[in-house]
Parts: sequence; C-alpha cells; structure tokens
Amino acid sequence: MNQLTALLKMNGKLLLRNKGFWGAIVLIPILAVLMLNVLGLGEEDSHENDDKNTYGIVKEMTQEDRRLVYLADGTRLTVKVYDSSESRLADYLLDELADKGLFEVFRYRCEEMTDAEIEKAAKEDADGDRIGVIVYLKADFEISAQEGNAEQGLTIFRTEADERQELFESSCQTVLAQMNAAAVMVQGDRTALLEVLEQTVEVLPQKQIEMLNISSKRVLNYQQLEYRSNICYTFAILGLAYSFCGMLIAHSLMKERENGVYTRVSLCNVTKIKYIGSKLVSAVFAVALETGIIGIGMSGLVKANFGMIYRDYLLMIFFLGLICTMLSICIGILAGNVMSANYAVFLVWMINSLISGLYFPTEFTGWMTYVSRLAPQKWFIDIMEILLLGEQGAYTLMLIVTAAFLAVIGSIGAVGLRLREEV
Amino acid sequence: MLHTLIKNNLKLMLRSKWILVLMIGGPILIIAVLGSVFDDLMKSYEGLDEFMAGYRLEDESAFSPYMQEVKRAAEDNGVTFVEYESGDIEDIIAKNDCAVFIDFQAEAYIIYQIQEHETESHIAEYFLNGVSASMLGADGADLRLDVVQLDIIPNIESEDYYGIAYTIYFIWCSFVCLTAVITSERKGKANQKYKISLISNISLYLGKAIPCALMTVIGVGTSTLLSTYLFQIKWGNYPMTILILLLTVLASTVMGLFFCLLFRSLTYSICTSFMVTWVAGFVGGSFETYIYSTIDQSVKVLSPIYHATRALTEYSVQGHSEYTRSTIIYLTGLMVIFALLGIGMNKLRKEEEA
Repeated sequence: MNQLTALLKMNGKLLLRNKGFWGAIVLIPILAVLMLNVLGLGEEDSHENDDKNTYGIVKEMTQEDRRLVYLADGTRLTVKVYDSSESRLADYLLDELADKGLFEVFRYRCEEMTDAEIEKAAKEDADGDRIGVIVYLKADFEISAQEGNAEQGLTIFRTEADERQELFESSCQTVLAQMNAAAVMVQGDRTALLEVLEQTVEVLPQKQIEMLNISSKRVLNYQQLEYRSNICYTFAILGLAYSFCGMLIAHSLMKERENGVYTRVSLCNVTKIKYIGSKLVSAVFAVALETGIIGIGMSGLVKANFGMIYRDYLLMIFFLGLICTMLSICIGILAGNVMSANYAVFLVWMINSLISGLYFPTEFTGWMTYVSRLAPQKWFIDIMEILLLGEQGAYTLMLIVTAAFLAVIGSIGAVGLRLREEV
Repeated sequence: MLHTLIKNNLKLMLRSKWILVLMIGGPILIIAVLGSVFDDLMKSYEGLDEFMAGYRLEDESAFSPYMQEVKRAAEDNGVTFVEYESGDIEDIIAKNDCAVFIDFQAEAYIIYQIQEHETESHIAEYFLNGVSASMLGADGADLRLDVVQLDIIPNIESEDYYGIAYTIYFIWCSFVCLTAVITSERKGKANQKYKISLISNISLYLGKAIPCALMTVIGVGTSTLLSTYLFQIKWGNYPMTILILLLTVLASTVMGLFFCLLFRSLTYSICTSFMVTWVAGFVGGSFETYIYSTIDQSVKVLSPIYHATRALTEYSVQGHSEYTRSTIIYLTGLMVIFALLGIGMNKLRKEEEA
C-alpha cells in the first residue's frame, strides 16, 4: 500500500509540474467556456411550441434570426412569415395555409418593415436558411381583407425554382379568394367576416391525420434540441481537453520507459499491476480535477443552463472524460512515440466527434449506424437525451457504457503493452 | 545549399508514410461521411415519382359523388387511387405498396401517414384539401399576388461543399509535414551543424517552408484530384480557385512553421497549430456549413477558412464571389506577417543555440 501511495505521489508531482497538464486542464476549459459564450449558450430562449404535436399548425418563432433549417421537417416546403399585421384574419390565412399539408409555416411577429428591410431579411433567409417561400403580411392586411382586396395586404418572396412554390401561390390565391368573397358578402364587417370564414371551414369534410408505425425514436422539443446542440459542442471541446490530458500521462509513461524507470521501480518489489494501477489512478484524479475546474468555470462564467441538473451534466462529462483520457493513454502506449500518438489522438477525436454527431445531428442508415456506435460520444448523446427528457435509466446506461468502453480500451492497452515489451 | 536542403527535407517528408496517408486519405474519408450525412438536408427538391394511394369510401362521404373525377384529377397529378373495401389498413399498406391510405368516412376523412412516405402523404393531403376547397367554388386563379423573385445564391450540394471545405481544411493541417523534418533535425542535432555551416538564416527558413508547401501541394493535390473524380465535385472559376488554394498553402505553411519555431517542444507546437486550425475551421464552416451555422457573422469573418471556403463555394455555384478580395488580402496578410515572425524566430533560435 505504501508503495502505491509513493508511486501516486510521484505521479501526481510529475503531472502537476508539467506545464502542458495545466494547459490542458485550465487553458482548454477556459477557452471552451469563452467559446460557449460566443455560441450564446446560457441565453434563455422561450418557445411557445413546446408540445410535440405541431402537425399542420403555424409554428411561432420568438427570435427573428433563428435558423429553421434543422427544425423544419424537410418533407414539406418551409414557409417563413413576417407578420406585422397581428390580426385574427392573418391568423386565419396562415392556419389555412398550414392546414394544406404541403407547407410548414413558421411565423415571426414583427414590427412594420420597409420594403428594403423586408427584402434584405428575405434574401438572408433564402441564402442562409433554406427557406422555400417568405411571406410578408403588411400592417394593413386586415384593412385590405375587409375591403375585399386581401391579396394587396401581403408580399410573397420566391426563392429557388421548385414546383411547390407554384402550389403555394395557388393555395394563397384560393384562400384569399375565399376571404374576398366572404368580405363582399358581409360588406366589410370584421367580426361577421371571421364568423363566415369559420363557418365555411366547418361545412367542409373534416380531416384527420393518423401516423402509422411510429417508431420508438425519442422526440425532443425545440428547447431541448437547443440544449442538445449546446451540450454536444461542450462534449466536442472538452473531449479534446480530456484527450490531451490523457496524452500527457501517456507521455510520462513513454519517458519512463525510455529512462528505465519501471526496471528501477521493480527492484523495490513493486509489481507491474501496482505500477500501472498508479498510472490509472492518477489519470482518474486528473479527470476529476479537470471536471471540477470545468464545473466551477462554467457555473461561474457561462451561467450555463443545460436543461438538466448541473450535477448530472458534470457526471456525464466526468465519465466521457474518463473514456477519452484512457483512450489517449491506450493510443499513447500503442503508438510508442509522442508525435504519432498526438496525431492519432487528434484524428480519433475528430472522427469520433464527427460520426457521433456532435457538431450537427447525424442520422446514418445502414452500416454507418454501427460504425457510429463505436464512438463513445454517440452513447453519451443518447444518455443526454434520456436526461433531457427526464426518463429513467440514464445512470445505469452511463455506468454500463463507461465500463464497456474502459474494458475494451483496457484490454487493447494490455495487449499493446505486451507487444511493446516483446519488441 | 538551399537546393540541397529542400531536396533533403522533401525526401524526409515523403518518407513518412502516415503523413501521406493522412493528407490523401483524410479528406476523402471525411468528404464521404459528411457528404452522405448532409445529402438530404442540402439537396434541392426534385419532385416525386408517381405513387399509389389506397382508399376506402363510405357512401355517405361528401367525396362520394365526385370520386370518379377525384381519381381522374389525381391520375393527372401522378397519384393513383386504388380502392380496398375491407381489411386491416396496416395490412393493406404493407401488402400493396401504398404510400398513403385514406379512409373517407361520412363526416370526416382520415389520412394514414407512413413515416417513410411522409412527402407522398403531404402531396395527397394537399390534393384532397384542394378537392374540398373546390366544393366551395372558390378558385382565385385570377387574383394578382404581389410576388417578388429573389436573386439568391444557388444551392450547393453537400458533396461539393465538403469537397471544397476539406480541401481547404487539410491544407491548413499541412504543418504536420514539418514534424518529419524537425524530429529528424533534433535527432541528428542538425542545428549545431547548421551553425558552423555558411548557410544563411533565410535559406534555413526557406529550406523548411518550400518543401512543406510542395508536400502540401502533392498530398492535398492528389487527394483533391481523387475526390473530385470520386464524388464528382464541381469547382468553378478554375484560375481563381487555384490561386486561392495556392495562397492558402503558402499562408498555412508559414503559420505552421512559425508555431514550430515558437515552442521548443514539438508537442506544444502541434497542439497549438491543431487548436488554431480547429477553431478557425469550426467558425469558418468546415464542420457545419457556414451557410447554416448560427455563429455570428462578426466572428465568422475572423476565420481565414471562412473567407476561402465561402469564395470557392460561390465560385462553384455561380462562378464569382464577393469574398474574393477579402480572401486574397487576408491570406496574403497572414503570409507576410507569419513569414516575418517566422524568420525572426528562426534567427532567435539559431542565436540561442549558438
């Protein structure tokens, strides 16, 4: 036991004296925190569309520049509406359009905009957000509709040539024609106009949508999706920090091998298991220390809100960090020299982050699904989703995944050590 | 003397097999992965093939008197309506290859969607909505809408985008070539030998920079040719594209070389270079396209990768780009600054060791 303590003390000192170690555990987390601030993590964002069934309903946007490209379901034409009319008649028009089935309508309630402003916004949406059609409802939409000229109250911005745009325009024409006909009938009375329109809808055969074979996929709402992507970014950056931390430990192992430290240590009756054990225990300490620093840094500087208990988040980071660190140590042992190990660690980290979908949600089909399961981050995204949804079983899964990865990494590392010794 | 240095260093780089593997294989692997992941998101809508819709009709349904006309109109729109009078709906769908099933009941009609055929069911829904709207008699085809056609940047396909983005990103990773030279110099204690030789500071610097740039051109060039062939990547405006890529090679070489000279430990140099490149790529659209990324524009423009990626992407889709000038200025600026810093650092290191 004394020997183990002595070894641990030695390793601890070595690590603490190493400038790179402090760089990895202090600098990178600080950089990560700064970067998260740039990304706007921790800013509260409220959404009115939190219920899951939004099929055929106008979706409300609370931020104008919010990207819809990942939110839109992709099977329908995305329509973004700038609504400065804020009237019941505008609601009617948009509800009808959303109900057509082919269009997914997002509405942003805005102040009145000039032609130049709205055109600029529309161009940005079309270029940067894959919006199919942009509609501007003018402030006087309601008055135009009451006068029976509803079509004068809005402007439609066409983007790419896509046959659904014509369908959208013809749908608009149909609904607007109905509104105009009704307006003529009631002679411009607003309440009566709404009543007539609602009655017409009731006369028609009712439509119901049933979804068959709904798969067991977890469904996150907008807010949770936002949390998910923020946490994924932190996984990516911190994963790198932990990997470098593991590299430094692997580095000390390599140096010691060069200097024959192990041979000398073994003269004092230290078994190999104790020697390696001390390295692993110091790795766990380093990971815990780093997690602690990240934890304090983030709660102090970012005011981070991850949509889950902060302790759970740190727990996830700790286990993921443990896997990354051990993986780097293992790669270090296999590679044998610092330079190749560095590249290999970086490459593994990059590919893992990419295929597990840390930067953007990846949904693979076929064999890539299995390949992406080889990345520990992929499993931690699952765990995070469970935690976000408040479902059961996150802790168990966390422990099982960590144990499984460590077992695999451990055995590969052990084989690697044996091979190295034989050389 | 310079000639010999270049020849030797280039040999050292070419001999290190994994650098070649990384520079040639890396981009291809990543383009393949990202190209397929983003295929759905980035591709343009191409319309649907004809499909079959199953239905069941109750006599009391409002659609009942018009069904023949509905079927005919649907046929014209590429939807074949087939009637199944009885049976379990899920079974019918499974056995008969229906993309969607509609149950016309007395008061309502139910559209059964299947997850794999969502688009088809949206089309059917749209079509039936049109049928019921026509029952009202409202048409509106003669209404004049205020429609503005936007002048937008054409859409880029995912493989083209990532083909461009990763050519640029891997050029920025070219500093890895230098490790082969520096490791060998340290091993052979070459610096002490240079000291007594008559070689000038500049030659020593160029002796590393030129082979590194050449190696990048060889490695990434091969990879680009291969990926262009494999994924049919579309490049536009060849002279400008090549100019920007070459400028990127030079800028990344001198920057990588600077970091290699800045730190005594190669580990720190490599880690710093990787971090810088990664952050620039992250901000500049190497992972998530700059088109969709929510990072603020004022942050994006700080990244040289953003300028180059954007310029080349816009060349690919429309042949010209507003970012040409900023890209050239930024890259040339980086090149000059880091070359001066690098040469200074080189001198400093040489004197230190003296």
